[in-house]
Amino acid sequence: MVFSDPVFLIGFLPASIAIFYLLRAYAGGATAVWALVGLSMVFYAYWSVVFLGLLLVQIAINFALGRRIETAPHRVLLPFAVIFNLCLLGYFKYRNFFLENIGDLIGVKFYLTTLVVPLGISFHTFQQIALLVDIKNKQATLPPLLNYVLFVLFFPQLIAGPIVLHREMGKQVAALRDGHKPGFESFAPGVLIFAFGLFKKVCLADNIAHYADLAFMPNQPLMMPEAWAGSIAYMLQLFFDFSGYSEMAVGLGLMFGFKLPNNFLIPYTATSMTEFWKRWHITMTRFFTMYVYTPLWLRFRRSLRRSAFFQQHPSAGSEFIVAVALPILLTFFLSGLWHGAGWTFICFGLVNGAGLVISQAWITARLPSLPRLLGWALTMLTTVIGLVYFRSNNLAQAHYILHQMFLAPEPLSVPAWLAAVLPFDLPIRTFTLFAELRHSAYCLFWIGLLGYLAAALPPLAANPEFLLPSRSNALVLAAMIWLIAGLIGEPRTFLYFAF
Amino acid sequence: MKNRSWIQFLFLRVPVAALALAAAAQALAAFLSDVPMWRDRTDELALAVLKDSTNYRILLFGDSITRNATARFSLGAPGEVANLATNAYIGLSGSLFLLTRYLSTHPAPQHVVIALAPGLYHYQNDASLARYHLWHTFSRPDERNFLDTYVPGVSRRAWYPAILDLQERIAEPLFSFLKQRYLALRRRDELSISTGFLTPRAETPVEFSIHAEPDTVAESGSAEVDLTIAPVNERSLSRICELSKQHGFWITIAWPPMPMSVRRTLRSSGALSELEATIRSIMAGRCPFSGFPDFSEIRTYTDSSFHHDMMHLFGDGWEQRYASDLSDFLGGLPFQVPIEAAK
Repeated sequence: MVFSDPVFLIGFLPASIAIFYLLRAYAGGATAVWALVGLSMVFYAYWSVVFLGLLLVQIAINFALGRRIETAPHRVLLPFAVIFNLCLLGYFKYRNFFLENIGDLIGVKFYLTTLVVPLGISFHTFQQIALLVDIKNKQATLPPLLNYVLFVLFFPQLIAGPIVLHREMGKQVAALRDGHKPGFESFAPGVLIFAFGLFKKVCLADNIAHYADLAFMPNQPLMMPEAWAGSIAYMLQLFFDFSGYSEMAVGLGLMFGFKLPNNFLIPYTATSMTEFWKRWHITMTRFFTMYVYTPLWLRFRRSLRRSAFFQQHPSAGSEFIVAVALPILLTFFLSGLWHGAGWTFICFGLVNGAGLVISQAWITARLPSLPRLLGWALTMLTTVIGLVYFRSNNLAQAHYILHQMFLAPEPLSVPAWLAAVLPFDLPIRTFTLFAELRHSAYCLFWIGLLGYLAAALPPLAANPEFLLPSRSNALVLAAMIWLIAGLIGEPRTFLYFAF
Repeated sequence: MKNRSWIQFLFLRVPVAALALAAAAQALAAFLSDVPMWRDRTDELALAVLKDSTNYRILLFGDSITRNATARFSLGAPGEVANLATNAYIGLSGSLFLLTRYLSTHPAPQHVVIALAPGLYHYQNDASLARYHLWHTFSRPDERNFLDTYVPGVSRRAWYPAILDLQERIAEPLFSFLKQRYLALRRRDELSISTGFLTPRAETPVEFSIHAEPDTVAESGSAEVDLTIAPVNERSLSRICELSKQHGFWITIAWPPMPMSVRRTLRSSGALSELEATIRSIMAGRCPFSGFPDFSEIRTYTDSSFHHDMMHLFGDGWEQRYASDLSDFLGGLPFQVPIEAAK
């Protein structure tokens, strides 16, 4: 069920709120938790009952493993649990990719059936791995089964995050069970934030999507400005789509009295790659930093310092390469792979990793800071290159678009509408992004508007407690509701559902 | 206290704000309801056919294949050909409306040439597309009655509150209104049917496109392509035929260039012959009509002469070649005294 689907908005959501609040008021917190678990199962089963079964089995196994890790720790238990989860993820998401690549290497063609990837598997698998690691490190205790099930299944964050840590959710679930009752001061800001996210998705992301789709169509010939416009359009679409989704999740959480972590903090104003990744998909970055990068960094640094060669020839350069650059690149390689089973995603990760390594090298070498505008331009350039890989159907397409962006100015090729008013004959392109004057103007209008909004709109989900029940907020909410209602006819799936 | 102010926010302030916004939008939409749309070339044509003072000998209607190829090119001597080619969404019914408007203010042309891809005789806009592309452009009572009859649901959204239809009821009429005021202020609001001024070259060099995706090729060239004429198109054709009898002009239905594989399949499967037979049954004996000159017979258009959509001609060279052939064809149409209106 998509959050922007009328079935969800008119049917499931109001029904869930009514059931939850009635049960919480008259049957107590524990029953309300049961109700949320049940509603979350209905939410997931609406997509697939079979995969709900698989998810429940995964939850049961992880719970049992968590209990063993907590009560009778053994050094192989955690690796086993992590491998189990990664195998599950790997089977559905990466099996075909790996077999195809192995086939290419050994010259064998495998005829593979396309596997349906369970919705949200990347997100809830990570959440569960994080808890198991935390239990092993004595940073968390295993909650009661019902609380654990709600922690994983809670429908606002089940499909596409935010990737919630148990330390954030655990106490809130326990408080609900114990009868804690947040009122309208949580519910109403939740509605406001949810509407804000839905507005970003339906009114902004879906409206610019058309231009990105056109530019990334297979075999689409593009002129230089079109390649840039299409790539920037996608960059904006992805931000408004995913940040909109994340805000809807936070808003929904608040409607049920839960505060979920914020995922975006105006990322397109970042002036370095380090800053960008502190602002973009924050919960994923946090997961990779805590559970991949930091252990790798510690291990690599320790190994380097222990090595006889390094002790004899210590150098800042080799320390940087082994203890900083390598863990960053490996982490971003895995982060790219997490997004999807394809070389384009790996390249997306590596481009960002390379950007971050350069950014770190700059700081380590104590070079003078770049002017903010230049830093911003370089950060956005790296981001857009990464996202061209991210969106392209294959590496060939990504390279074609990048070639058109940077190496193919084609100054004498003009769109048909421009050629029509020129008094001399020039080669034209038709049926592309800028084929019509009106189309070109709309495209540039949407890029300009969304570019401005990406920097100007406040990250409401970051501090919901600062929202006020003011007249201006009421007017904004009413305007957003009308705009959403006018445009919601044909919802598009959220981009991050694919990951 | 905080709880109470949020309750007031949700149940009082937001509904009041929503009602105020809806009322404001409704008032603005009412103010703009009579503004003729001026969003794109079709809107401009719908106004221009009424105001252009030239009496053309030939009216050319077509889809985007023809439109793209002829936008820059002259198709005859000045005043000879009115290029009224539009696109698939305007289709035959839009062509009928343009023709009717033209005839209401001009003497009849000698020839009406319709160059639509065969698939467009089968294609019918859904209600929302027809509303966007036709309903708002062609707002005269006879035009809207026709659409109401043949495109079910086209007028349904007229009952929506304006705030739910911001684009079509407020944003675009407002844009059209401002554009008209601006052009009037600059004294540039005299409308004429725009025409290309470059002479197309028959043997201009061509480039070839990347091959279309196999799925697109398969779909375009499928033997099961349905060319059954849609009711709205059948009725439009009949009306054009009636107008021809009333005003005495000759109708020619031509096939614009098609990719070789598509044309082969359409011919071998008999789908195109069936469509031609249906069109003949609508027109023949009822109005002066000739069919079906096929531009793919004049020269060979391979699949890679087209964009990967397997529809639109790829690049300047191919478009010039088609425009040149079309220009020759139109120039060769006989100068004849218009046929006397049917008694």
